[in-house]
Amino acid sequence: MKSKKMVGRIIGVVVPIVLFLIVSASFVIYKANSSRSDLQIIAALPEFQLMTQDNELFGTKEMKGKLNLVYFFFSSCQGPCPIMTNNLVDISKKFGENDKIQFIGISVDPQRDTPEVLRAFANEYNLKSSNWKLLRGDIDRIEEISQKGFLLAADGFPMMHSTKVVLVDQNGNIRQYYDATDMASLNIMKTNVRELIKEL
Amino acid sequence: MKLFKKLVLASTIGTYLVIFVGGLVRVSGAGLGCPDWPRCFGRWFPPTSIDQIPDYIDASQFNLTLAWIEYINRLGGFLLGLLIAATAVVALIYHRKNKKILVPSVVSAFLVALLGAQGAVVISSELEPIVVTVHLLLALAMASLLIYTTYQAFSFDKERLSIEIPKNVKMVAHIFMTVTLLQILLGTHIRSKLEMLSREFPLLTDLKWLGRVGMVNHIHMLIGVSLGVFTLYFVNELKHIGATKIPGVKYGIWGLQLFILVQIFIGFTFTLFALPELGRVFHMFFASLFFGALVLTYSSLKSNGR
Repeated sequence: MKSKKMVGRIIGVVVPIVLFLIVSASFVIYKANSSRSDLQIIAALPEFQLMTQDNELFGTKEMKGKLNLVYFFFSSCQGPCPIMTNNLVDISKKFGENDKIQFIGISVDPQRDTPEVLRAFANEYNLKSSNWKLLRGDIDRIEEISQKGFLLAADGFPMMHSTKVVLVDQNGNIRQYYDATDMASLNIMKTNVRELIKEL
Repeated sequence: MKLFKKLVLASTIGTYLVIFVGGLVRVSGAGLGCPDWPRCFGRWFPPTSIDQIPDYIDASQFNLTLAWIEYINRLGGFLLGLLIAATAVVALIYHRKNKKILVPSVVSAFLVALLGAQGAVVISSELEPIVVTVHLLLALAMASLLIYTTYQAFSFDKERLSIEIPKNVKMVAHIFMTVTLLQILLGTHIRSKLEMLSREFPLLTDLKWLGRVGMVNHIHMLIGVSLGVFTLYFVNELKHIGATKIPGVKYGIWGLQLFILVQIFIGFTFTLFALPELGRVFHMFFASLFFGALVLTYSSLKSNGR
């Protein structure tokens, strides 16, 4: 009789605690997951159009409907660019064949980065032209796109370009900036992409 | 003894709560919610807006929800530290002569301080799997010590029974402890591998990540089932020799049976629902509770057996 009472008392305490833990843990997990895709719209990207390494027109229109990871670089850069490109190439391989994501590199040295040079650069890094676009255009236009479009500094191109990767969503909105030389920042980018891609 | 009993019991329950919150932090991916330590984005309270992020920390790392999840974990750890320190102080003042209470109380206080300091290494290593595993093992060691101390405190004025424990039961108890600990280590290894895979290959599904974990996952499942059978055998043997007259053994085996049943149920949800996150939190939590129940059974047997 005594032990039955004891078991009853234990169940009376344990069951509400377990229920509380289940409810609170579910709430925390839900909030954590939704916070990763809860990236505010920083700005809408103004319309632009540049040329790819394959001499094709490519711009905001081609970015629509996909998640875009955009960065600025130049092929002869010996500073942070090789690290940035290597990090992004590594990530693109981990993403696998996924036509919902594209990587876009915009050259800040279009004079030297001719289509041939960009194609050689793409070959060197084994970039697939299906989801890697290396863009070039008039330097004044690139400066304008960098400053007014992506809201990144463009003083002192080509040497002083930004090391940020910009996440542009399927509607052409800037959602977040990441440091392309910092793996911790890029890991956050990967989790953000994982959540945002569910919306596509 | 009344004050000590209250403090040590609260410390034990508090430790399991913090273990639960720690598991939740891990599963929700909030481990780096605060990228610095002991502060959070250079502040004693998490920032409320991106403008409050100091220049030396990349602003893209800021996520208010994750920062608060990690912050609550740290706050819980800090409060637990105070509670365990108070337990050790009371043991030092009132129970200096009782080594079975004094030693584990003081060692627990050292362990909780070590856990706090090791928390800094967890953050600076950016959640290096081996460092996170050491963090959990330290927490389990502390929980075991506290369970032992709680048992000693509550059985302090009780008459010790003298039950004959056959050699084979002693051996089974030792094997049981070792295999359970190994199983927990395997589990943390699998979890670390899954986390690494989910970071590296973010667009794969949970089941594909599990597929890449390899053989070790099958071994973990096999040992899990064996532990279920082992529990039944162990409990049966203890009942057979009359060890259930010892209150610690009685509650211990009650816990062992309940927790292994829950673990088997969670195991089924893993295969049916592709590793649900909630299941992962409780899987780790109930593994810790199972180990705690084993420690209680073992220490009660040792104190009352021949």
